[in-house]
Amino acid sequence: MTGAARILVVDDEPQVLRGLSAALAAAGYEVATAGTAASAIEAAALLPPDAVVLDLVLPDGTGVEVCRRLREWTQVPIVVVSAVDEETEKIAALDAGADDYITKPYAVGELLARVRAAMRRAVAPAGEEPEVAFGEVTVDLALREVRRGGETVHLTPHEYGLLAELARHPGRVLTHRALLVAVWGPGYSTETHYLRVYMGNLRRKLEADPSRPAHLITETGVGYRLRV
Amino acid sequence: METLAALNRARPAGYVAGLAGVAIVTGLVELVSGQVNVLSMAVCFQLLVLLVSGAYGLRPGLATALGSAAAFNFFFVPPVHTLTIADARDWISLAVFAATAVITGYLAEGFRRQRRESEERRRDAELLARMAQAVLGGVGTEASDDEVARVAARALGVERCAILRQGSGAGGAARAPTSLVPSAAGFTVPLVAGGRALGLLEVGPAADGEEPRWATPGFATAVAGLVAVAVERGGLIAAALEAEALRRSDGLKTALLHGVSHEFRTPLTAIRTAADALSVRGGHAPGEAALLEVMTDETARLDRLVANLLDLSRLEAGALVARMDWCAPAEIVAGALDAAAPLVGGATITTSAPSSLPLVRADPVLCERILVNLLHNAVRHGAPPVHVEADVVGGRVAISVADSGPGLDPAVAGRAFDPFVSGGRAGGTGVGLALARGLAEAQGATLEVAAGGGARGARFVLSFAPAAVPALVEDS
Repeated sequence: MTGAARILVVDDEPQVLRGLSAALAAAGYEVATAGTAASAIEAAALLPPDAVVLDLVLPDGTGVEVCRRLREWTQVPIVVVSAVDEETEKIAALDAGADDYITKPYAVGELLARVRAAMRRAVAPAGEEPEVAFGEVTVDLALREVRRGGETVHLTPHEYGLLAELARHPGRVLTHRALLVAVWGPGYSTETHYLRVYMGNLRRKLEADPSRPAHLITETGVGYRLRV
Repeated sequence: METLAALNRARPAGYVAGLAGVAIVTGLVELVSGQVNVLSMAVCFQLLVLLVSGAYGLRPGLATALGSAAAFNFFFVPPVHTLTIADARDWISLAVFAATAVITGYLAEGFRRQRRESEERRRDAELLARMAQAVLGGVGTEASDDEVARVAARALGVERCAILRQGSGAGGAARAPTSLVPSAAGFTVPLVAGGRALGLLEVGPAADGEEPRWATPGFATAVAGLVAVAVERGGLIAAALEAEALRRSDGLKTALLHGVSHEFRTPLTAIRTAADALSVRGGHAPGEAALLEVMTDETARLDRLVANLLDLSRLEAGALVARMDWCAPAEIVAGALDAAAPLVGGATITTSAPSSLPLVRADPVLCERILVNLLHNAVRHGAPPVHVEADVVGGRVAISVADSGPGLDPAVAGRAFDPFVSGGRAGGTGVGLALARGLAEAQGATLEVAAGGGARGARFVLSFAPAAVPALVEDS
């Protein structure tokens, strides 16, 4: 990477594209734009970006399809932009490899923060850190041990499995389906109540204020995220 | 039947016919008296009595019988041309003749009455059928009471009818008292349809040259029943038309709302992004930064309002479908507080939402938006501190949002969930509460204003239907 990071913005509204380009440029990024799914894939192939901001609704296809196509050959961080009622598409995009999402209407500052975080995570790929720390908690993935303020915390196997799956992807949204399949197995992919109960247990054991979690974050309707 | 007797009394024709008949029969019998036994000719008089009774009723019949007996005695019973009777056998003959005549008269009168009654019933039925046709078919769907009354007057054979609706200013003390019993001046019949009193049908006096049909109260009541149906039908048709108009205007409103808010969305997003871009760049003079803040804040507000309108229109069009899932009340509350953070500007919000509460069956996204709307509402129109509490109340999981403001104006509390109704609080108009309730109902939950708010501020309660959570396969 030389000079400013390049961000590819994909949106079918020219005025939104102009505004976003100006904002990203003001924040010091080099900006490329695309208005269709086809031109987005083309632009990403010709001049590989460092991050992609992708609207889910495009005139010639969906953002989900763009995610899937991009993931065939690049691990570039993708932040999808969705409307409030596009929950299903949002989840599909995350399952297709998107790194994060933001819901309209959003503040540009928030979008910039998401893009920055996604790029940071891309530099330190998931699963390579043996130890993940958040708050006063340390998760040792090698020793399968969780400590809170130096004290070992006893977790059941599934509680640990859930925490470890989140810790292997710090900061990233993991969908309900992805978590259930990773921790309980493919037969449990829709048994959301397991997640609700086990997340409650983890928060009681690990959060300073379980009713206002600072790290084990609910992504409403989508999944969970470990904020480190 | 009294009325029939009264009619009979009024007609001298029967008596005239009877007397004429007696004269004719007497003449005829006199002509043949040379050839046959005169006494056997008494049957001729009986035939006359039968005919008169049949045609004019009992009294003319009896009068004819009397006249016949007198004439028979005078002209044919010896000694003739006197009313005296010489032979005792003739006395017996005359007595039998008289008795036969009277019985014949009675029988003929009974037959006549039956025929007349069945004729009346047939005419009543015919009239009622015509009336029904006129009322239910001929009278237009939007017939006024006057039109219906005219049809009724025609059917009843009276000068005029009037429909007095219950509670109408026309009725009551100002009118002359009207009788429920038919009289020469007319009478009134209650109008009842479907067990509900609608008012009165005023029946006027008989029209000239018409036999008033209301001579039988049963007939007038039947006509009144039809009138009542017509009156009620008019009301039902009006209500149906009104409902149809409302439905159409509602559909139009929803379409308009959706179109407008959808079309507003894109330019708003562009303006907001541009304003945000300027803010992000920074380096503004203090005055400029303040202006930019106004721009970003107000576009954000407009954006939220348009989003709410769009959702409300989707909700009303039935296009918003809840995606039900198992949800933890504590997560819903925490998620809502995070999502509402940019809107509540650091206002103090306390929570009580134990993670031990049972799971609820709900759409977590919709729940979050309901609570964000309630929190925003509490801070904007109520006053902090705001308290959010999740608990089990009466077997249902309930999440309440209570503020410390002046509370809802009792005068509009009942309409707090109508769109664009002022809650009696500063700037308290909009769609937030209407949307919140719609979103609650879309997922089978309820949203209510808790009673007894008063000085303690407004308190809204989102309550979920109880649901049996499937068992977990526990691990150790």
